[in-house]
Amino acid sequence: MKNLLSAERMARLKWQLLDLVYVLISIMLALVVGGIFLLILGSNPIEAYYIMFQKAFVSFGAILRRMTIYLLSGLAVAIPVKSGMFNMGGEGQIAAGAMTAAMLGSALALPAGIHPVVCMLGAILVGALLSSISALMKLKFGSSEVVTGIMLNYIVMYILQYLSMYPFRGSPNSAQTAEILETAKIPRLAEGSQASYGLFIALGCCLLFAFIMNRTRFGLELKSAGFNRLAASYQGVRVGVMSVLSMAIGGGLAAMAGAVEVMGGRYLYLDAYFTNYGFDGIAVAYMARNNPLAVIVTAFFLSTLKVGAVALDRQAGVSVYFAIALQGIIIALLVSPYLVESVFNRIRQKRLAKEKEPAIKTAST
Amino acid sequence: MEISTLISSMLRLGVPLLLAALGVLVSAKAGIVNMGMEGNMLFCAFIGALVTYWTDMPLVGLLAAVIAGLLYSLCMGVFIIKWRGNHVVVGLGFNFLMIGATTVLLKAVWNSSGNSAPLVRLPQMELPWLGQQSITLVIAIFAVFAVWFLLNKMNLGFRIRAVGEHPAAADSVGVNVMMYRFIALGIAGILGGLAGAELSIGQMGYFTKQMTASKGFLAYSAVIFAGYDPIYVVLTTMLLGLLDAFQMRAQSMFNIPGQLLLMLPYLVTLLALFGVGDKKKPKAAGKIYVRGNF
Repeated sequence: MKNLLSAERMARLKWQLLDLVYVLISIMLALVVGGIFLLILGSNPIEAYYIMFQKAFVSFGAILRRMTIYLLSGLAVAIPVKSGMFNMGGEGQIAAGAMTAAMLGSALALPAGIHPVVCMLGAILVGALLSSISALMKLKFGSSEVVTGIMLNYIVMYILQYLSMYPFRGSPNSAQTAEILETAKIPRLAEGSQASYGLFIALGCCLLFAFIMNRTRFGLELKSAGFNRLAASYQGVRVGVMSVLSMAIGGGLAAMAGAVEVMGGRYLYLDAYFTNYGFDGIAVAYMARNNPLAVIVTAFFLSTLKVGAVALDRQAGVSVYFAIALQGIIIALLVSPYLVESVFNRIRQKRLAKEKEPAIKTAST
Repeated sequence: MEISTLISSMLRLGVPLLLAALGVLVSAKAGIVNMGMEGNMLFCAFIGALVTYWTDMPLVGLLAAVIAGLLYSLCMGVFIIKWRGNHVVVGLGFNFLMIGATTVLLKAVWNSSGNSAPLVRLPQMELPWLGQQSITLVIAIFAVFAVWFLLNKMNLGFRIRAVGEHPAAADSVGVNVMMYRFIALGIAGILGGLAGAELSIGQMGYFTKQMTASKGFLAYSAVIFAGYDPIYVVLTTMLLGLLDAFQMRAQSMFNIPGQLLLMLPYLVTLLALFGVGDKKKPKAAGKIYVRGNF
């Protein structure tokens, strides 16, 4: 009990609470700016937000299905950030993972228990390879992993478009692969539900990485590489290896997101279906302050926002992309620490000035 | 394949890249990693299209796009410079904001999820050898020399470069780091505005959803290949333009699936980054500078 309430622990808790307040303020500010934007467009912002968040109680399954993807694509950004890398290629990794799972799922004939595992491992391998390219290029040539990630996204997008249109086309009407076999499918949570047991795989990943990052030597070394590269390398941490490994983990997780959606949701790869999931992962990770456990909360929040945006599109005629605009504001606010800090500083200075005044008076009398 | 048509479409595809790259270059010299150029172009392409749609005067649209670019970049500057945000992530956030906002507005104004209505285009010139070009070509040529002159001959340019190489040293002799970074970002915003307007009202004559297609990032890479030199930027952006022009021609000439050709500019950029790296980057690029902290 004494250990539980040690001063160090309390101080850390205080910082975490401040962080939480800061994240909430950023989200509120973004919603306010979005509301003003809606007003300019001529729709009632309160009504619009009501439509968005009311949807959460109607289509809970759709939210959980989307949340499954966000959990993994959020982790895919959060883990590399810890070692100082930015996984911008999530978009391509998710799609590539989905395609791999769809191809393995329809081409191989394996027993039911093993088939999804094989599909998943194949997808993870492809995703990890893709993200390692960016990481290695950053280490060897110093080229920004953001730029290489975006270039890879486009390259992967066009390759997958080609694959789903010509060699692996499974339908004469649209660019999609054949449906995966029954053995490769991940069962749904309930009959007719949108969400699958993939949700628990994703939640398990969050718990696993929370443990790895906070309780193992590997996690500590990974974080130290991001915190101070020079100091970490003096302590014998192989900083470069850590960077590449964290990116490979990120790529693998992103590919898992795509694979889970294919095996538990769509059952096939459809061209242009997996757009924006990687970018949404960035918002999920930054809102969670790159904490694997907090990712669970933010993935649920963003999923609600997105499903709500679809409802908003249908009912009020505001494009689904409204949610992406909100995300952009939230991300930008979250990484600009001095905005709230300067406000706090001003309040503190005012308080100090007030405390000083009576002190001087008592001294003079 | 006729050479003059290839050169003509190279110029058309290269000019927006060139303008954007010059903008990225000026802001990079001040130590700012301008990942928001993509959103800058997209926003200005939209504003240019919108104002042209309202007024039927493309030159007014161009002016509005430039002003929009200036406002956009200064707004980003408040986040990056004043509120000490992470350059890369703030830039990406602004890109998302603009992808979202322009698509929402596209639907609100033209009730479409793809294209705007056709618009009056900027005045076009019929040149010998070079085919039809919009007046932005002239502006771009002027901009190259202006940026070169700014960075190599003017006090303002020297201060911008000092702020990017060693902000503490610049600060210690009384150069206002914040102000010069804002000025550099403002110039970048104006150039990005021209680039965006050229895309929508210069060439296409309409606005398309996400019409920039990562041209902002291609421009950023072009600056890296050029070693942060305005004259070499002309070469690298024109090479990317030529590549794009070539893949467009090749699609109709050879029997290769379009997708494999469409990815050519991105693939070449990636491969080129393998060899070149980013060695000439200004030393304080992406670093947050707090006044008096040296």
